Amino acid sequence: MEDANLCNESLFERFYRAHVKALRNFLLYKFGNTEQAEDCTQEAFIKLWQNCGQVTPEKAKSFLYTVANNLNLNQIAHQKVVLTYAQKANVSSATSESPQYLLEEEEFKTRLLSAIENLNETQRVAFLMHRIDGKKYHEIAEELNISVKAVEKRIHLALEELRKKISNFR
Amino acid sequence: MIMKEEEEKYQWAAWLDDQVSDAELEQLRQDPDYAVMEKIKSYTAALRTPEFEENALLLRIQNKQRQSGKVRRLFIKQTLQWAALLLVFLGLGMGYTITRTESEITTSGESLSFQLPDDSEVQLHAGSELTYKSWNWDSNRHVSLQGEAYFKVAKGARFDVKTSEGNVSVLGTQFNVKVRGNRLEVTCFEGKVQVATASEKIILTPGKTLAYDQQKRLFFHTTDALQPAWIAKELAFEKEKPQDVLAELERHFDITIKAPAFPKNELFTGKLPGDSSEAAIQLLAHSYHFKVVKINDRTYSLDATP
Repeated sequence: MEDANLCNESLFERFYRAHVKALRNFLLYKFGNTEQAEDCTQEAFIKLWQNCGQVTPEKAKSFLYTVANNLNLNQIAHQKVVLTYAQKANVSSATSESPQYLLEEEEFKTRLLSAIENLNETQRVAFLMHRIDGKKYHEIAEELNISVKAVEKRIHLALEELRKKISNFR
Repeated sequence: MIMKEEEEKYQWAAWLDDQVSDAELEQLRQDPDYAVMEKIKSYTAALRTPEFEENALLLRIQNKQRQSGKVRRLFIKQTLQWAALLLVFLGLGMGYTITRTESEITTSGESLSFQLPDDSEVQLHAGSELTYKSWNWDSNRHVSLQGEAYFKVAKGARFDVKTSEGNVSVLGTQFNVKVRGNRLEVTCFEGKVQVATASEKIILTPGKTLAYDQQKRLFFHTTDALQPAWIAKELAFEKEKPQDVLAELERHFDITIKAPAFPKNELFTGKLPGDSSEAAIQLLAHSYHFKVVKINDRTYSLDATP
């Protein structure tokens, strides 16, 4: 049907709301720069709109990620602070720890962030899509247009790399 | 603890996604860095990206949807510049509203019924186009017509229908305007209608019908019809060229009719059914002693019988 495609403004808006956050996050992991991530997000959605007649709703998500991935932009410098930890720390035993321990934990968290920043792009993107957006490996594979095995490999290597960087510090 | 490369492969990925068996988990726990891995897992689960303005971004996208051209985000910091920009947009919006033209179009085989901004009703016959500007409609009731339409005009200011063959103006009334090629036919059903061609102005009272061809008056007399025939699914013709009648049938039924040359000056007057293309063509053909050949559902041919 003609009106079942994304040229319908309300369908387009629903699709936008469902996918905008994850797409923008993906681009944020890739570029490490919020402004560039948002510009690219905007560009990708506009491309989708301009092609709404040709792209079926099932193909729209992969179209979006492909466009976003292919946008040829001048790489802007990574920002210093992009990611933050949620207020509530997730370590279960954090309640009754000594100040010394808490200080060490803060240091660990800082080192972890810088280690993530220094991962290579493909590993960082896959790793953070899992950790922050809670995506399944098969979803990540679909969006990056690679196999599930390749996603697992990137995540595995990312973890090994993080461990190495953090352990070297000590 | 040393493991074979094959076994260890991607185990951390499975572990991170909680996809390992108890035995595998036990094995991973033997790793001297397991505590570090645990911390990485739990701290990264608490990671967040900065908030962003989802709605503002959607607005920018929607604005681009309505324009074309290259996308650029604006980085304008000073309030003054924002104010200037706002004024420009207001101006553009205003200009857009004032100059925007509404169009209603019917293709062959369909007709359309709609209301103008003041509740005046229009029924548009097949293959016709009506355009108007909705801005300041109440004091500026102009429509342009190609084809045929039946108007029930709400009381108010002068109502003008502009056509290539002349203009029709009224107060509150019901009337039919048909302009096909160089022929203009106007019938008034209620109120008063003024028809102005290049050469004359005539006022029609209810029940009067007037037609021109090439700006020359064809007829001007009384009709007993209460509404245009096509509204009641009939096609009425008066002193029309047979090829114009064929064109009307083609438009009304969305069909194609192949016909030989008609005898000149034999104008057609009569009513044809508007709900059956076959019956209409048979009747018309009969008047001119032609035989109808149905080629398919949408195509007919008329043959001169020997």
